[in-house]
Amino acid sequence: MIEFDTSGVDFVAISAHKMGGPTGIGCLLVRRDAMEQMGPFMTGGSMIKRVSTEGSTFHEGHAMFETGTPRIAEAIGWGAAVEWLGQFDMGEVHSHINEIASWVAEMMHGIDGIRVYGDPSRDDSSGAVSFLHESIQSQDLALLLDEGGFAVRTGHHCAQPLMDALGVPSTNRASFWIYNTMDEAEAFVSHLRYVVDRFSEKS
Amino acid sequence: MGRQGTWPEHLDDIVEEFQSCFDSMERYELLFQFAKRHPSPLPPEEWEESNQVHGCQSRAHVICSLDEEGGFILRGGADAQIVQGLMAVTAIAVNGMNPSEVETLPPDFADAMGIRSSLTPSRANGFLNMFNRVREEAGKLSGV
Repeated sequence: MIEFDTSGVDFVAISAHKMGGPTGIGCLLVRRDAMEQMGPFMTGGSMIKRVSTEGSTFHEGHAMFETGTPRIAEAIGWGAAVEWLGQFDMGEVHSHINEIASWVAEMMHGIDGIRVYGDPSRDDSSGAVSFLHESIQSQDLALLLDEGGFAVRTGHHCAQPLMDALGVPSTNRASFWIYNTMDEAEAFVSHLRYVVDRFSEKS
Repeated sequence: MGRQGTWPEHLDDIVEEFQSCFDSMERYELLFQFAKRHPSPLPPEEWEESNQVHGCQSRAHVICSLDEEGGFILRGGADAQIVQGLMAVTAIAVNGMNPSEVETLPPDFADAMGIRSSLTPSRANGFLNMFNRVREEAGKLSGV
């Protein structure tokens, strides 16, 4: 729950695809007094009150930013995702994700050459496990994990300052969510162990 | 040209070595080995913006030149071993060739080796970007 009045937060950005919805749609929640200071960033249909040769006036509030044809199919898809998520207790979802991520991180500590960044067992962690192998480069490792059917994120994650602070060029990141099971986590760790055994000395 | 296709003959054994791999993991293992056997590597000290191959998921750099006899030389470096391995095979293919031959060489050898089919589309495109850059540089050098 975000308390706009007490937290000092002005903006909250939400991506549909991070909550089971379609890609290409999201929303921006804006604190009312911050909204009053904002002007249009793009003009077009649906946000214009009146156009004349002397000047144009625009709708106020969120309508000012909703230019042109909306993303209709994506909005309907996102609505379905929100409805689907409604059946779950988010506290339980959080525990489920953290349990899997913590177990994976713990197992990774036991694999030679793997270093885990951060602590997924913390209550405020997000269910992502960032890691790197000392000799298998992150892109190579991602490709070899992919061969086992496991998709991990790789690269600098658009966070080069963090990579600099960690002293690494990139990391791998395995993320878990509502649909993942402990069986899948075990299969992932087992394939990671296999890849490290087979490829670590060849790098 | 080689026994089986459009690539130079000296690549035949390598193509066959890749074709005899049991699965894609074995092919990657072989690429890791070729990465170590790159005939003309480009060390990280020489990696610059001007020689970077763009559109590659990992960092890759190439410098193309001619030897004293006018033969093509591809020097390449990448942070990922699989990319370095691909570059090594490409260097083995093109080194010593006439640059005008390099300019028109098709990337069929990578298909025959089963490499492109085991890469995801974005990684296969990365290989093609590198290969096209090499052919482009060969085009510039063939007029020299």
